[in-house]
Formats: sequence, structure tokens, C-alpha cells
Amino acid sequence: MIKLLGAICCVCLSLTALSAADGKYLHLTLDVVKGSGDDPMFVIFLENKKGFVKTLYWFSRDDKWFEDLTLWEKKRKKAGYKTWKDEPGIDAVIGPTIAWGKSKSCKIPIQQGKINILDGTYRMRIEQRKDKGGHYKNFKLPLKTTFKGGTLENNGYIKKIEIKVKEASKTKDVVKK
Amino acid sequence: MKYVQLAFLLTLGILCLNAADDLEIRWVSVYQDESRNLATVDPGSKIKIMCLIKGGEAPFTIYREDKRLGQTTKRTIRVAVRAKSENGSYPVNISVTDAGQRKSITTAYYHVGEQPKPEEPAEPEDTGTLLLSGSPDDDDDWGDDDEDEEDVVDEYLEKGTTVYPWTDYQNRTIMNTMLPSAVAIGDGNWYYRILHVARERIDDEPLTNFIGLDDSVKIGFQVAYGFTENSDLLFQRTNGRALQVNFNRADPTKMDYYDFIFRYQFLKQRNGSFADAAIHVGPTIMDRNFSSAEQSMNAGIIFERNVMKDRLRLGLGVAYASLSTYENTIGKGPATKLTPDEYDALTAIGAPVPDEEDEHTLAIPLMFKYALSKKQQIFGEIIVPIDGYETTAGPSMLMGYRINGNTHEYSVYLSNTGNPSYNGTITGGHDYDQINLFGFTISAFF
Repeated sequence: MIKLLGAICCVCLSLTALSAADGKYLHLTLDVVKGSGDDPMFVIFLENKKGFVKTLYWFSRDDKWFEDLTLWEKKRKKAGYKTWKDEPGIDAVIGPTIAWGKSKSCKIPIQQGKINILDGTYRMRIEQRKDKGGHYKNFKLPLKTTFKGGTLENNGYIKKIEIKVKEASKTKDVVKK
Repeated sequence: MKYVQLAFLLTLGILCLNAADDLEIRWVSVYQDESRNLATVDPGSKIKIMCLIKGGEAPFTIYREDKRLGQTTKRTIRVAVRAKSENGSYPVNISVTDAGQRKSITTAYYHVGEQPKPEEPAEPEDTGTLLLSGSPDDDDDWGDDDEDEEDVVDEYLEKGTTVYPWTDYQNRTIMNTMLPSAVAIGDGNWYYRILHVARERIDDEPLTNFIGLDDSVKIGFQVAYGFTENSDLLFQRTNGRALQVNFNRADPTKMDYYDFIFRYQFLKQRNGSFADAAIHVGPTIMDRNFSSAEQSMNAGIIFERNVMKDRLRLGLGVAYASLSTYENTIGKGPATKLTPDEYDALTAIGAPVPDEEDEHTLAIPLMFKYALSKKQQIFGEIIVPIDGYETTAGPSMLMGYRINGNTHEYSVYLSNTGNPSYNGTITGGHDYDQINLFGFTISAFF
């Protein structure tokens, strides 16, 4: 009986350890302003003082227009990725386009391989573009070690962006429509 | 005495402003309770922004605003000193000009000298405002790299114009099917269009002649380029008619139309004007076998206005051609209108010629476009000749359906004229009550 209890405890501890390994993540909700014509594209990427680190999320599946996000394109190429497909794991972070006046969420793991995006050396960039419309490139969010999330309103095509730091094991977050 | 004092202080304030022009950096603090777009703030409401203002004469330009507003776009404000100084600051009036109308007025404190030190930022909370790089409260120096560029602002967002999902597509048709629209293509943009319109009626042989497109088709190739935001040049080549004006030649004599249209848009509804409006002017050159040519000088003015939440777009204008033309629809309608050159050629060989017609035509174009959805529209156009030559069989008319893509525009329509050149569309149709010529257009924007 004691052995059985011990085994159960071991399993529970292992599961707990696995959950802890999942770590925290950023839950990002992006509300888009009301607009007209083609829906805008958004790319969220990470950079440090040396330059581009990795793409965190894409809100557009129309990949033939990806290169129109020239800031991301330029920084990514400088980092050695000739085409957007060259960046490892990018397929996993491409989500649907957000229509005018709509909202979508995504989750961004804080620990991504060897990168801890909250170790104080990174900042989040968001580039926004609409075909023959605006092109906003100067959203720069320093991700400090004390980062606890927050909201920001009225930045280009973003009506409101809300970022929360969450525990991965507590909620099931998927891109919501 | 008060007025003297005020005038003195005003002068002093302006002097201070001028003296401070040497300083490259100045700050204006304005306070507001809640985060809102500055351009939509109601008069009297309190706003809070921290602005870095470049020196120079008014109007000043804000190029960085507070994180709470989250805007990094340019705004032009007017700054004027209004009263005496308080604690080293100058109370100033700030008005935000939006589409020519003053939208908000508030009092701010104009600090001459060093940037005022912001208060110690509170520990960020879950519901706090995200602190962006470059905001006054950001103490992290990223050295803002050389790759940073100015944002290209969205005109609609910048001006706070109300838009609907279909607004862009309603406004982007730069060429209505028959005549130019009231909208310029925009600086550096290209536009291509191919137009096919049958001269055979669809009720003749709808199946065997592929709704009139098998033969006797008019084809217009068009290209346009925007030189500035408001001006562009459109060029269209349309195949002309085959007239046997010289029976001694073995090859048929052919005449083609070359439209050159310069357009200048002088009103924009999205900028607060009553409507979009453009003038256009340019020749149509009617070239016969590249050996002789005649030309028509065309000019017009078009007004177009969105109504019903931009669902419906209505157009009205005036169009003039100094030498109009008309080519008969096969088997129906008035005879082809001969040009003076053709009269001469036919007379020279002793061929019978009809009575000479008026050379010019003045017409009133009308159009509508209704958005069925974000990307789909139905449209109609009527051009009523009111002076000079006309076919005497009613106005030129068409009605069609258009669907917009990201970079393309496709339309199908039924018309009572198969004359796509500028000076051929305005002379009227082949019948009062029948639109039985099938046409389509494919357009591309680059």
C-alpha cells in the first residue's frame, strides 16, 4: 500500500514538474479599429539590441503579402533568414487575419527554447500595414523582468491591445474568433 | 489697463517663444482623464499628453505623444501664448485642426527649457498601460536604431473619418466604365484596364456568338499613372472602325482611337469636402492607318458623393468633345458618324455621303454605384448628350456588376453603346430602351 501511495506521489510530482516546465506565457488580445477595404496585417516579433530575434505571431494567412511588412522583412533578412519560410517554427505562429472591428487573441510562450523573452534583454515590436493604407512600424514594447502586462489603446490600426502574463497550465488558450 | 497688460504679456510670451526657437526640444504637457484620440476630444475636456515639439514658427508639429494616447503620428497644432507666466511655464491654447475644422481647444503649459522630469513610474500592473519605448516614462535606452522610419499614417484614421467596410472599394474606382471618375489614382500608383464590349447584340445569337463577344468587339487597353496624390494621366487605345474610304487600297482603312486624359482631383469627400470632384482634359486622337489623324479636344468635370453610409455613390458632371464620334452597333441604331477627314476621303472618290453633322458634343454624365457587400457593387451609368451631335436614339446607358479583389477589379455589364473612347461614349446609344451589348472589364492596381 505504501509502495502504491509512493508511486502515485511520484506520478503526481512528475506531472507537476511537467506543468512547471510548460511555464508562463503572454496572452495577447488585439482589437482592431473599424476600417475599410483590405484587412490590415499584423506581425509581432521579438528583437534585442543586436536586432531581430524571432517572429512571435502573425495575424494574416495571406503569405504573398508578408513581404510588404518591410521592417520585419528587413530585420529578418539581416538576421540571416532570406525568406520568411527560412525562420524555424514560423508556420506554428501564423494565425488568421483580423477583420476590421474584430478581435483576436494569441498566446506567446515566455520560454521559447533558450530564449526567455522576459529576461529583460528583449522588446516586442508590432508592425501593421494595410495595402495602400497606413504602415505603422514604431510599436516597441520593452519586455522587462518586471513585466506584468497591461493595455494600450489607439496605436495605428490597433484599437486596443491587452497583454496578460498567464500560467500555461491553468487555461487552454487558443486563437479565438 | 488690463488689455494693456495682456497685450504686454502676449508680446512677452511671443518674444519668449521666439527666443526659445534656439532650443531644439520643448515640451508641452496637456492633461486628460481618459485615453482618447486627441482629434476627437470634445471642447473643454481634459486631455493628458506629453509632447515633444520641434522649434520653429507656428504651427508646431507634435511628433511624439504620451503613451496613454498611444499615437506616434504627426499632428499639426497651433500654439498661442494667452496669459502671463506661471512658475516658469506659459499657459497656452492648443487647437487641433482636423479637416479644416477646429476640433478641440484646451489649455496647456508650455515649458521653455529642459524637458520636465516625469513622475516616477509606478510599478506596472496587469491592468496598467503598456509602456512603449521612447515614451517619456521609459528609462531604457535602446539607442533607437537607424532602421526606424516614420510611420505612414492612414488618412482615415488620422482624420477620424467614419468609414465602413466597403468605403475603400467604393472610392477606388478611378475609371468608370465610360468616363473617368472623380478619384485620382494616387501618387506613384499604376492602373491597367482591359475592356471588351460587343457590337453584336446578345439577343441575335446568344449561344453561337458567345453573347456577342465572338466578333466585332471593341477592345480598350488602358493604363494610368499617378504623378501626385491628386493628378494622374490616363491613356487608352481602342480599336476603331474599318471604313472603305479609299477603294484603291487593297488593305482596309482602319481608324483607331487614342485617349490621353489628364485628371486633377480638387475635392475629397474624406477630407471634409461635400464630394469628390475632378477635372479632366486631353485629346482623343483618331488615327487612320498611321497616315492621317484627326483629334478631338475633350474636357469635363465630375462630382461624386458617397451617401447612405457610403453604400451609395452618386456622380454627376459635364463632358465635352470638340469632335465627337459614333460607331454604329451592327444591324441597329443610327449610322456611323463620319469625321471631316472621312467626308473628304469619301467625297474625293465620289462616294455618297450623309449630311454633315455637328462636330462637337456636350453631355451630362450621371452614375451610381451601390455596395452590395464589402467587395461587390452594382453600378449604372448614363450619359445624356445635350448639345451638338447625338445619335437621336437616347443617351448612352449601361448597368453592371463589379467585384473587387485585393489588387484587381472585375466587372460585367450590359450597354447600348459599343464606343469606349471618350468622344464616342458621350454621343448617345443605339436605342432608348435596350441595353443589349455585353461588355466586361478587368482592372489591376499596382
